[in-house]
Amino acid sequence: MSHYTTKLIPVVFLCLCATCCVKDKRTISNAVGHTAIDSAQLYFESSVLGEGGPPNSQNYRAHQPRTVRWDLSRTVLLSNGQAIVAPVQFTHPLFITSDVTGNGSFSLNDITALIVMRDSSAQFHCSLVTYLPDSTAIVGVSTSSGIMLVEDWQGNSIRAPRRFVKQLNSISTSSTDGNDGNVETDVDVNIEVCNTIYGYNYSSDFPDDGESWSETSCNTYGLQQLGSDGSPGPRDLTGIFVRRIPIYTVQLAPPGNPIGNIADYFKCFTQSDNSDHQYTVTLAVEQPVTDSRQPWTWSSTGLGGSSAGTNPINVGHTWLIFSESTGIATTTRNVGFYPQSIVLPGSATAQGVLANDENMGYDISLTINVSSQQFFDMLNYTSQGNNAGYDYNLNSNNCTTFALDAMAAGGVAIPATIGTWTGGGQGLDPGDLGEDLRGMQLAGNMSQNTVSNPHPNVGTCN
Amino acid sequence: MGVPGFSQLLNWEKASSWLMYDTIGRERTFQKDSLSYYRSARMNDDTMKYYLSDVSPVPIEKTKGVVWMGYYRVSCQLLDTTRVLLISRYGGFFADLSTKVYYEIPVAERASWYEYFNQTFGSIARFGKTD
Repeated sequence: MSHYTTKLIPVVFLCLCATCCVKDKRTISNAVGHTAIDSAQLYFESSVLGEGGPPNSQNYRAHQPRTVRWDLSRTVLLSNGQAIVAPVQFTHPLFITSDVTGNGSFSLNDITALIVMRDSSAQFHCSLVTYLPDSTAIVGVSTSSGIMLVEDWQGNSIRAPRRFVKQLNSISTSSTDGNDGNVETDVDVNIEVCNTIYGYNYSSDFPDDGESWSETSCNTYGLQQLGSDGSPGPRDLTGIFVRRIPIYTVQLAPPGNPIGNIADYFKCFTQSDNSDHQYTVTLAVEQPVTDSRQPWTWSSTGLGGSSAGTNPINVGHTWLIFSESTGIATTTRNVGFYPQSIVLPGSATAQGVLANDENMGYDISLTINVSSQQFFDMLNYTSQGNNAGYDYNLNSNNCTTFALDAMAAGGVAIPATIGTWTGGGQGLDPGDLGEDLRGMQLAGNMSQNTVSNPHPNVGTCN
Repeated sequence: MGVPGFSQLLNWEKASSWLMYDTIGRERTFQKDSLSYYRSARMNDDTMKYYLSDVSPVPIEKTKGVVWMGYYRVSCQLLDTTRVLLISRYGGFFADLSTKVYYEIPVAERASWYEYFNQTFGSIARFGKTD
């Protein structure tokens, strides 16, 4: 027994009414000169469109403007007889997908067709077929599996939605004619729904001797086999959709970069001397080696290896976390200074750029309460980091230099050791700064943290 | 300029099943074989394909002693192999741990590239689950 939880996750919302409704059976005689297609069209326009009733309120597709392309219709022999198959064209571009389709989507125009056929009493039947290939059918460019919907023009289900696959059943027979005995059959998926209840028997005399139990009951819902009302089944899809069904993939537009516009990034901060406004600036440091002044190190993970070739150097990072609290709301913005392109000890300069460091972890941080003026002086200094021509330099204007200079612009001086490194380089660095912060005598408006806590950006404004 | 050998270069557009891992604070004990132990977030294959459609290898001269300032660790499936990459937080470059080849994306795409990784990593922190 197959267990499928078929969940449709449509671009177009799909909700089907389970009513089974056999539609109009009016007989229209073939007038002299009328082709079968003409007759089908005449029947559809007079009986289905004219008298079919309002669209199903639960069916989004049934409410969309659409037309039948009688000019593209054709006569096809289906399993239940000859039928007129006409593509249906939706006025607006609509796409649909499902959990069995993989990453692709389909245009409703490519997977929807109107089927008109006569039964043995020459009465017309009309159904709207929608077919969503699953990933197997997509790969195999076939109609061998997927989801099939058979509805009337008003969006009511003529038969239950069908999830079907093709399965080869081997038959153990001796073969005298060269056949291998394999038979191709349609397999309707049965959906089993189980419910479990849990109970506990409690005895007041022996409270510790309770007994827990559960009961599970299952019901299996089988989908209808092809019935006698003449509506198409999965075997007919090859005749209905002869053209390869194009599949569309959604390319997500890349996200914007909020810190590309630093003024916009900082716009939610408000300058106020009211006592309800509290401002803090946090200096966060990730050291190359925790608890060490080592300015940088050969990476012990990642690409670490030989002294020749591609040796990565982890220099750590220093950045600032600006936060304003009004007692009602808090606004927090992380900002770090980086080079725009790769830098090496021997090629230390590149255009500078600001980045959102809210996901960085730190080894140590120092938080300082500042005045609104100090806060905005620091913001103003920081804002130049994106300016064209404002360069990052691995020695003289790196992330640590930038952060400490920004704090100095607000009148906050942080003692910092100048480090040296291979190639004659020297300057401020996260390794030394981290250790400087650890040994720092804290003033009353300062606090330190040696455990990396989350520090996401918070607060929005218009 | 020297370019990594052709046999080392991979067509990253064909990679799929991208995952980002939360290895912050655990980088120094990271083991490739224990990827499943880390919280992760699934990345969108189409988005990654978009960014990697115009990727180019970094000349070897520019990778000797390259400075890292933090990175994201991601994995993907390519040529029936799980590949682990380091995605730099700056410079628009990433490195393939298996071949030790560096690649970089066009400058014009780097801003949104950073933001995509930032948002993806944020989703790990917020929801703390593997997709």
